[in-house]
Amino acid sequence: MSENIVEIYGEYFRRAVEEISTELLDIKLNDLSGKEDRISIHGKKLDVIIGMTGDYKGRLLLESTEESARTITEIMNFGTLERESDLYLYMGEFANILSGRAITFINNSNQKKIIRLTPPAIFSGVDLEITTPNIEFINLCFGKDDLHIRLNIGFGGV
Amino acid sequence: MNISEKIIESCSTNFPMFGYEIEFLSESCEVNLNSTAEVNVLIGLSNGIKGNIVISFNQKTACNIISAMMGGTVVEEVDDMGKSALGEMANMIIGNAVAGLSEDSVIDLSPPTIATGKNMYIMISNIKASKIEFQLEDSLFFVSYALQ
Amino acid sequence: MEGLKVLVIDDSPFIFKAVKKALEPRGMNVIDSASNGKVGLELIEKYQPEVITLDVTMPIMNGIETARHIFKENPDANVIMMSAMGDDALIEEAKEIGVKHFIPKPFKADLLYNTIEKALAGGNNE
Repeated sequence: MSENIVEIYGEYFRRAVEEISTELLDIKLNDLSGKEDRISIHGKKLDVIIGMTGDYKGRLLLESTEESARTITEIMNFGTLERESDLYLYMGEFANILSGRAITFINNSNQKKIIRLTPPAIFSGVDLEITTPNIEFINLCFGKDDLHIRLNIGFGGV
Repeated sequence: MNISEKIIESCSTNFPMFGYEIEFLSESCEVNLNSTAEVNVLIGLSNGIKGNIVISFNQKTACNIISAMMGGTVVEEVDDMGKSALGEMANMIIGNAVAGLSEDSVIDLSPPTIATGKNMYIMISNIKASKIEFQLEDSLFFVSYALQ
Repeated sequence: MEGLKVLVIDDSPFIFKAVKKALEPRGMNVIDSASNGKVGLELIEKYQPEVITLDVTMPIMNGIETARHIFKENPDANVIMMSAMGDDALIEEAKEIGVKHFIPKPFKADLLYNTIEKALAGGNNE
């Protein structure tokens, strides 16, 4: 797997985060990639995994704390969530919209559908660790005030 | 054969290769948000059938399976090598289970992802997931799936 | 367009809320939502909505299949298809079935409203 593919396609995800956070949340997130010490994703985490298949296989991992997830989902819900399960549902939708935008960029740049997405899977827990063996990845970090998210975008060998 | 039957058949065929006989216990339809075990291996599906399948174990069972896959080496924790082994196991089991499920397309699998932690909850679909329970020696493991 | 009945067919509760928030202040009536195409078709028969917003990726019956059924019953149905993935192949397939109106997710309220206006006037937003 060419590291360039990971970096090139990673840039599409960066653009997708910038657009979607503005369009969906009306928040301009600061790009803190490379400044991991400035973001805080510890304690009880809520992570979303969306698989990528097709010409390139990989996955998006969207990491956040439960607090950041609640901030994002309450904006999407126009208020306090009615059910706890909505926290998961809405974060899955957020990740879906974000990755959908990125994959649209990627597919359109190739003028054909080269990557398909799987549905989101949302995990929460204490000491949550998510590992996808045998992939190369890039970390993108974003934050504003107490809202921090990290995207880990990884692709495996074709 | 439907997907449940194919998962049961695939587990029953493949686990003995790791040295374990398993027994299918039950299948239930769960709400979409479930508490889950400490070690989970997730594979996503697309092209023809979209969905997620997760194989879930407790820590001890995961270590026993990794040990069996590594020729009996003592395994006391699920490290990166162990996660890679579990990923291979999931690829084998889920790959066999979904083969031939779609008449029109070859179903594509995402790379396996391993999620570990404590007090874990998982949502693999916004509709209800199905959960198949198996006995493996003195413990249980589960295969949960939600397909569109 | 006061009192216009709009049905949302989308497996995301967020989209139902977003459509309500976008259209109800403008006098439209977002009557209900269905989380898959099968239930969506039942609700279309029940409510006879003037406008249907339709997601592409849904369990049980997806948007493309649902659109096929809708247009079979009513070739003039006002269907606004929404997708988080706006790739051209998907849009082409939907157009072949008869979908004329597409908006990406997330959507701006103005875009949704204007697209509905255009649909009712008999235009399309290609």
